[in-house]
Amino acid sequence: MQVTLTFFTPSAGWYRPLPAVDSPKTLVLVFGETDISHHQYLLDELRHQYPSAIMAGCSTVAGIFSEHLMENALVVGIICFDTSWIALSVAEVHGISDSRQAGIQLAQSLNSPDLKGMLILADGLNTNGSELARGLMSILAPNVMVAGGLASDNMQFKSTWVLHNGHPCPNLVCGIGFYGDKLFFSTQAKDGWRPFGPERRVTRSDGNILYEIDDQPALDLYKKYLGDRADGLPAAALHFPLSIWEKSKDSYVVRTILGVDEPTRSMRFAGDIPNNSQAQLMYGSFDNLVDGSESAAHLLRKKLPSPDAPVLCFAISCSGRKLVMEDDTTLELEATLEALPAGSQQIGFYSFGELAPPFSGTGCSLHNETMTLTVLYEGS
Amino acid sequence: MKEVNPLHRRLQKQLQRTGLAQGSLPDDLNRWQDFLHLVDRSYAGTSDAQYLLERSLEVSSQEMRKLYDDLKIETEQRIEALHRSEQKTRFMANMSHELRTPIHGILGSLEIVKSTDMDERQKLFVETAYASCEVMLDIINNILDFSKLKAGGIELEIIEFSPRELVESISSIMATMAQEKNLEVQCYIPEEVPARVKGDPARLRQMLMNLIGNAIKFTEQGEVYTGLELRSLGDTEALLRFEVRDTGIGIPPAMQKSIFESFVQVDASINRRYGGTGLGLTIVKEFAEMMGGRVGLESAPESGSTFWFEITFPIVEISQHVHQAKHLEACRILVVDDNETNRRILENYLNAWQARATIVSNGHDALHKLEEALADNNPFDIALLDWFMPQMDGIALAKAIRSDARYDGIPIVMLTSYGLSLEKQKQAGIQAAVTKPVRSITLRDVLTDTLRRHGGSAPKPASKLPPFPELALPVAAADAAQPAGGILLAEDNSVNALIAITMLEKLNLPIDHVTTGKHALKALRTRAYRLVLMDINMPEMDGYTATRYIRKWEREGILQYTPVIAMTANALKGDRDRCIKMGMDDYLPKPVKQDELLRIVKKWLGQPDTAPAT
Repeated sequence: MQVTLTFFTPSAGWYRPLPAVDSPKTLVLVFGETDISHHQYLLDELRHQYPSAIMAGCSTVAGIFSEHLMENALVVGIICFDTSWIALSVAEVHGISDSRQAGIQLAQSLNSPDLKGMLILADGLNTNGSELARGLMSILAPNVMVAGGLASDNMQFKSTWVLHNGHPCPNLVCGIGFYGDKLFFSTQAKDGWRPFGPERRVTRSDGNILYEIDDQPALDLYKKYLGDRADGLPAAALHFPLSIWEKSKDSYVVRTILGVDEPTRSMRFAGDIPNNSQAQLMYGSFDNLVDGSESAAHLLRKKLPSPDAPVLCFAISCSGRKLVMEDDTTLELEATLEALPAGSQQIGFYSFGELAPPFSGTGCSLHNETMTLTVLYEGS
Repeated sequence: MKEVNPLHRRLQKQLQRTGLAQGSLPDDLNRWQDFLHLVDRSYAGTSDAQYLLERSLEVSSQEMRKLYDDLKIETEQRIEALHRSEQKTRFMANMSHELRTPIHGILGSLEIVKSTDMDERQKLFVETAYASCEVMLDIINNILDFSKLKAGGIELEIIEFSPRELVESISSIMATMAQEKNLEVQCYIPEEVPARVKGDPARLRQMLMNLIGNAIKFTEQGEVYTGLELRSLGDTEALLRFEVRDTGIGIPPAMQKSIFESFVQVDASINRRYGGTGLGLTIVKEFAEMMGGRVGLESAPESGSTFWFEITFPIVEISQHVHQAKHLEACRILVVDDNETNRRILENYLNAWQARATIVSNGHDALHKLEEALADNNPFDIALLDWFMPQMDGIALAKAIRSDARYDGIPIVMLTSYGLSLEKQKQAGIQAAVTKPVRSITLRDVLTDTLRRHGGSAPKPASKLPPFPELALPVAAADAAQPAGGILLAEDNSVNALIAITMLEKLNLPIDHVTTGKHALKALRTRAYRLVLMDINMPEMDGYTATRYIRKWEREGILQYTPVIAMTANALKGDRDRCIKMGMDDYLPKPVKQDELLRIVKKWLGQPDTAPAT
């Protein structure tokens, strides 16, 4: 497996020249800013350079290149597999109505006994991640690792894109299937947020709107916990997500608050809040989040067949983490790369939601506020 | 660094991240700044976390505080409610005691009057007064029981009793109650019902009274039937079904489920029209369930209701005194009754006594059967006629029979609902009358007696009842001339005392009456008694205290052992236990019935039948 990671900045051009490795076993990954019109010629160049390769990518508030955060650059990874092979499928998505169907469609077209894992890149504003995950897992075997993320924009929540035939398109979700006996593909999501206060029951919710917890208005209870920190709402809400426990209490997902509604005392989340689930408040300091990322990498490393062989790591981290960690965000990228075998490479993006197995178990869930790492490794 | 606490670890990591952990102190100021920046972030994060944890604790403690306050208020309310309900129960108990005392006075007096010579009309009034009093007592018992049921303070008694006697005695009261309305009153108890079982006869009586009371209340015409049925018989247990059937207004199907709930009556207008507390059926159901049984109801509006309860009782004695019926064996009896239920009942009894009954429904058939029997040279030994029949009533039939000299040897027994004066009996040539509902034992005794006395002979006048007894008011404890071996009665209520003394006179024993526990002790130290009847609630010194002293003195050899029998109107549970625990030998609940009083007294005097002569 030959991996070349590079990026393009208008001032300096390509950081590394594009290698001549075009083949059907070549994957070209592209992560760039929302407004990519001035970089269209680069996409054309890539398409031209790698006509046989599979090209995929999405918009992001910041790309990940090794341990670096790339905010005004086009991050590109060219991965050429030796023995494994890959396939691409795309589906349209317009919201909750067809998200599950999109998942089913991708899974059906990529499913195969050899399928090791799948990387999903989805429209960040029109995809219901929970439904998409449900659709995927309704078809795929439980042991197929699904990882991915929802495209982000410059935190305006206005438009995102997913690459299709070298063109950035909205309302699209693409899946890349990874196949082969020698391919190792594993995913680990970790958040690092700390729950606090008692667990409480969601007594009224509707989709991603939470109205009542323990029969009290959700917003009132939330504010009570935050004390004077509540003055900074709604922006401050990013610092205090909720953990939502599954009924079995085996695992939880983190849910980011996107907005609050004073008249209805409700809160809007970046994912569904099922009625009757258990909810708990969370906080996360910069240290906690970095620790979370690091532990994701540690957990993955433990699963590696040869612990010292360098790997390729797809890193998908939540844009909300970036807001919390501010200028020190790169520390989580350093932490993950440091925890992986020496010589490993890392590419990825900051997302509006991550797709990965639940914290314990198999399958696929929509996460918020996690660092989701996927390592690829082709054995000899 | 051996001991790595979280802060050390954090700082180490930060040193590493800023490239300062390489051993030597670097002089790169930027790195130091980076390090300090990270430390600052850590510190900010930690203090944020601390703030949130404090908030969380505060929220939780606020919630706990509220929970605690709510719980405290709720507990206080519960305690208060408990107090209130305790007070209520105590009030009910007190009130029922207060009400019972005068009622017992009335009942006791009436019982004495009942046993004196009275004409039929007087007897009827006294019976009515007695029955009314008993109904009143039942209502009071219902209210008391209901309040005790609510508080869960009811304990069932388990004593031997005769189910037959129980039902028969009730049905005779019922007859008095039904008299005003001209209702037919029926009672049937098959012979195979066990003679004695174990249970709580007082509660059963109360249950039946409730059902019968309702039946009579809601029935304007027709009949009220009380039955006892043996549903199944095991080696040691019998399942008995008590049934009360009426031809009254009935209960709509929709109401049949809730009718056993408290205060429920079929509709509010029922209450205005018929009155009642709405507690009766609840109590029936609760008691039946306490006794491990069940209740039920079949009813159709306008055609009547059947209420029943079934309870399994341990059997004490299975056989009836069949031998007493021997006199009627093979006896030819003509029965005339227009009521089918009654005919069935009579047939059952007579068959059980192995009499040869011929049963017809009217006077015309009766005369025909008499004629037939004569022709067959197999005449009837006795005739049992119902008085109230359409066309030819019992009196007319009796007169018709008596008009034919060929039937002179056949005594006539009349079944009446209202009693029959001796004069009228004589006029119609009737030898005996039995009041309905017929008790089997009574009927059997009357038939045997009539056959013995009148079989083939002319009627004789009935023997005179004893005169009204002289109420000799006793002399208090001062009279030393009385020989030892009398009864000491300690009772502060003069009516109760008078009744008890009158009842005890049959024993021909000297009776000393005192009104306090202190006087009782004084009397006991003055002379020996064979027995003490001790009221509990008395001024100066109550019965418990007095008994304690008696027992103490006996232990010290100052007194000879004397049985002490408690008499109390306290109807609360545990009274019997308490009395025994306080050293008393036995217990008599008020109202004291003459039979019961005499039985207990005789038992403790050790002379079951004859009273010692003075």
